[in-house]
Amino acid sequence: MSEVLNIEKIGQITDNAISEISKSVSKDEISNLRVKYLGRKGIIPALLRSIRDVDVVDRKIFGQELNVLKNNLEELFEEKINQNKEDLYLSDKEKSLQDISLPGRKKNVGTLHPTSRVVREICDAFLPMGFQVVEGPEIELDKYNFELLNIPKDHPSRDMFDTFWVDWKNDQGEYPLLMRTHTSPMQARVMETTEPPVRVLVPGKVFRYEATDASHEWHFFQVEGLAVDRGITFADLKGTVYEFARTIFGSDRKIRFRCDYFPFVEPGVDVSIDCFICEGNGCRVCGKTGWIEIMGAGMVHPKVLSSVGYDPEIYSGFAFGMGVERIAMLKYGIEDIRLFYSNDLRFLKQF
Amino acid sequence: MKIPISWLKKYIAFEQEPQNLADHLTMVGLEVEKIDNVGLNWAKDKVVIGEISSIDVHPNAERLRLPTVLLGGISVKVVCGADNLYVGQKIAFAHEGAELLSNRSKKIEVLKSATIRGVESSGMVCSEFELGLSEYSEGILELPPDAPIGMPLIDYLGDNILDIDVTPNRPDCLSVLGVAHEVAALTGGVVSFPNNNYDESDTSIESRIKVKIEDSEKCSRYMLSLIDNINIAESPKWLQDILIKSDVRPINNIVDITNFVMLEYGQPLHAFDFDKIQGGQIIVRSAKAKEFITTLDNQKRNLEPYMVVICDSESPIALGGIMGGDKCEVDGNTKSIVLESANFNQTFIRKTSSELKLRTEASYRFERGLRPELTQHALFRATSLIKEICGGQVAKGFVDIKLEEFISKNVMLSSNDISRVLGVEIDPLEIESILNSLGFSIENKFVDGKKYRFSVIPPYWRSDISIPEDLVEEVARIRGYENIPTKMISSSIPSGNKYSIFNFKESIRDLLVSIGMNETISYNLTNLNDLDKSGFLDKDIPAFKVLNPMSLEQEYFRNSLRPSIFNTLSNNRLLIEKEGVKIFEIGKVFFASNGEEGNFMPSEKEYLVGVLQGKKNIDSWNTVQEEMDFFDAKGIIEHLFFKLNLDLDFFESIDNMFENELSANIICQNDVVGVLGEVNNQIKKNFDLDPSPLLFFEINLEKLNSLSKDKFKKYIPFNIYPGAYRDISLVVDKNIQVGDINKLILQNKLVSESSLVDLYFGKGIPEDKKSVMFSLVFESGKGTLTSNQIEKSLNQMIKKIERKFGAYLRSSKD
Repeated sequence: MSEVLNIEKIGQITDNAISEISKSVSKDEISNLRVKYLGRKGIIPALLRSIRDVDVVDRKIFGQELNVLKNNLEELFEEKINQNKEDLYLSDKEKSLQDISLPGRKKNVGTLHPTSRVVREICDAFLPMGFQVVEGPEIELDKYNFELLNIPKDHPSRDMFDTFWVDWKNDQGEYPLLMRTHTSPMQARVMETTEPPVRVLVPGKVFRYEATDASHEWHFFQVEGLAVDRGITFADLKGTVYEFARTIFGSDRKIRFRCDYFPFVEPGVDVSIDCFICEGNGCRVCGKTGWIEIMGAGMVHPKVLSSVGYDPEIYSGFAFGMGVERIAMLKYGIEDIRLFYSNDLRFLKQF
Repeated sequence: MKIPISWLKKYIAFEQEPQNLADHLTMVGLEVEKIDNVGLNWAKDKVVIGEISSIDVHPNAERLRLPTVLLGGISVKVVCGADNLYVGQKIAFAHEGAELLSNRSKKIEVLKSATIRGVESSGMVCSEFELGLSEYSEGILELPPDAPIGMPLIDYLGDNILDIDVTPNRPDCLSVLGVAHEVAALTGGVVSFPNNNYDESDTSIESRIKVKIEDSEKCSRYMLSLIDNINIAESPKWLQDILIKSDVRPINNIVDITNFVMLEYGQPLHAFDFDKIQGGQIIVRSAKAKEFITTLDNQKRNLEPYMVVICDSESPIALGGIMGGDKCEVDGNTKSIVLESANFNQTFIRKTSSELKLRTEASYRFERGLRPELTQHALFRATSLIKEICGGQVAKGFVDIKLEEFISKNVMLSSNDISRVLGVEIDPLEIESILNSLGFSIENKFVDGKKYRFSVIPPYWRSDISIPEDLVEEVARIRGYENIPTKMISSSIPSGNKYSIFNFKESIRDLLVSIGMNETISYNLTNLNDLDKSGFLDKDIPAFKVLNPMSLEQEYFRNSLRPSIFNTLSNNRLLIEKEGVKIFEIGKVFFASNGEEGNFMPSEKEYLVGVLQGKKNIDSWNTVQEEMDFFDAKGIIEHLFFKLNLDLDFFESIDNMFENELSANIICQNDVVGVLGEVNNQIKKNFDLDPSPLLFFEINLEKLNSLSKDKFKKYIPFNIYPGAYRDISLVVDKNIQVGDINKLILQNKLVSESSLVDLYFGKGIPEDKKSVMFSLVFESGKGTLTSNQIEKSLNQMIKKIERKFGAYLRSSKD
């Protein structure tokens, strides 16, 4: 026989419940208490079930009392939760996550190769000036890499371009193919197939037969530029290169042109910017000169124009070429060019 | 080219500090790479000139001596170990506190007084090494007898040597006079030419030696002088000093003078021992078949018919323009010499020296192209120096064989040329002044206000001026490029090509990077071993190679990007444990293809490869980790093609690089454009890769780009009527392809979407079966579908699937 219900008992349960609820702190405690008192197998429903054992006369009163108690407890739980929502509503697990110093979940972040990135930056700087990107073959004919660029066979200016030759003989027993030593062959290829005006950029891999060290690779990238039309002058070259340098290296860059020699341009120059690291005062990067060489440039040699069928009396143009890794090294402070193509992800993932 | 400033000043006066001069020269095209300071550490009060007044014997050491050195006013007695001391000798003396190179440490050290074998020595007599002049440390440096006692050594011997990187177009600047002309243009100074005069004897040279040029294409001018009764000896100190500072080793006075004049004028010279020349004649001709010569470096050289040789009546005595032969070498017994000053064709010289791998100071200059007018100036200068230094008598006259008189070609320069090239107008007076300062003369001029036209004659030492643009550069570089305005191209912008492969590759890079892949770039050259390891050696496409590889590691052109990406993966295999590797490379592969006349020609194509291996996510707290599998790779390809708006299908692949089951050809517009699959264990072993699943994809980008042209994405309007969602769960044989079921589902006109949401094997499913669950969207453009319409359509579809694939609804037999 179950325990006989009486009013004192209900009062006792009420006191206990109120005290326990008021002492409860966490969401878990509250929900445990709720289960204890109001759950399917909890104290109140058990009492309600046992009401049939109570004397018929008292049933009604007990029933009312129990229902009142049940409602009161419901309210208390509700109140407790509302009162302390910010605190109590969280589970222990959730509370342990309330620590903003926990690290964010890392994402797999994709990265462009620094060379691709800088090629893009260079191209983006020239595109608004009407240049378009074209690419050319990496294995070239002697004709395009040298001869059409005013670098005849057995000419000492070939010493400027240490060449990898392709082991492939033509019918005359010559080796006419090489790994292009610069992106300049596309000057001839573009002009041969296009009528002026021409305004192109040529990014791409080039190759030099030279020993590698921290500042030399046998395999690197260049971006070539060529603009040919009626009336293009050295002043236009200056403006174009100046705009480029300011876009890439900052709007307060100064620029310097000094005489240099490339067989396919006349006049030929070497372009430097004032050192953006030491502001021209002289540091290790600029070799204490305050100037950093960034490209070779010049007015397209009349011989090159005529060799591709342009009349140098009518058309003129300028060309420029720069090493991509050099620009990347300057921009990102990379000190060893060999990092670019050793493909260590610890390096690549930084860009 | 090394140019000692002290020597340069003998030809042109200037005040600039060495660094300032170097900066100016660099701006006009003579790049000064560095300035060597001779005597940088010689403090004026510490290192001075002295004279040895007496020499005493060291009381305790036989090999040591005790010279007393006069230093003007004072004299000092020190200990010295050198054995070339003598009384009256002028030497360099270092006081205590001087900074000298130490013989022991090879570093700069401060001299301290020391007691050597019981005798105190405060200061020392210096060797060339200690002064930093040369590597020579035996014996002390001996100064000329007229060296002033007490003078600081730096004022007497100190110098700054410009190291100039001369571009190939300026052989004139491979000489001190050439550089002096540049300095003259920069400073407004005037170049003083050296003395070329000498007395001649009565005997005429013509009676002594005859010269004939047989091949004037290879030698346009040949000059000789003849000097008798010379005295072969060491050169005077001043001459040796200049040679040493210019990086030329002194040999004897005759050879030294020919070298000196070459450095002075840029014209190579050669002296023959006259008495060794057979038959009293010199013939300049092409080499004969099987002919050879032993050159001065003691090498026997086999000659080719394009090479030019200098011969006597019997045999070659010199390889023209490159090196003399041993047959007529000047030696200690030589009494009479003939001195050659000739002009050889640059192309043949270069071809010969390249073929024989014999590069000399002479060939270096000739191959850059010298003016034939230069020969006489150098010949007279050298003859005059020989007479002065080596004594003897110069035979009357000189030999001068040439095909024709050399007439300087005029080059025209107009105001139009200047503005056409530079985009600025320059005053005719300024043009004239710049050209004159460089040694050009204006033969004719027409000036009308701002318009002008000059007929310009380049000086005899300049071989690089032939067109108006060359003169424009002369004016621009001396005037300074900073004085040219900065403009922008004003003409119209050429039309573009938006389908360039470059743009296509850029899109692909962005897409792959956006889903967390890292781009790599590797070398185009590889080796047989790597090609073999990736299974690309014995393909139908023959690999070809570089004629002159730098190493055997990089000898063959890659005919696939596979070895590149596997090597990259292998280099990063430590990362696979930690965070997984997802990398790609876009690059060229090379193979032989049919050329125009059916012969094989190397050819190149643009490819994309990618690999995925290891964990899907970077390790983080409270994250469930999974390894990437085939479907991660497939998802990337699907993403790529969706974004590029290309249709995509997969067929089974037969590429033997993959595990059989998990590989597919990537199909676009019924064309195979690439492959995708899980790489087999053999390849993983070959490249020393991690054993976990390795996913690979490869796409021919040129093919894909050609398929992507003119494809614009079309917008599909939304259905305005709401769709209804239904899931169906089917049980089918394991070997039924999910893709086939999906295709069948999508044939239903009311189904707008179908996606696989669950794939299950195991408990509750027969062993040879799998359970697949699709989530479907039913909709129609005509109106909202009723549940009847949907149920009817769904039942038809299920029946079709049951019939075609032997499937049944999972719930029906549960």
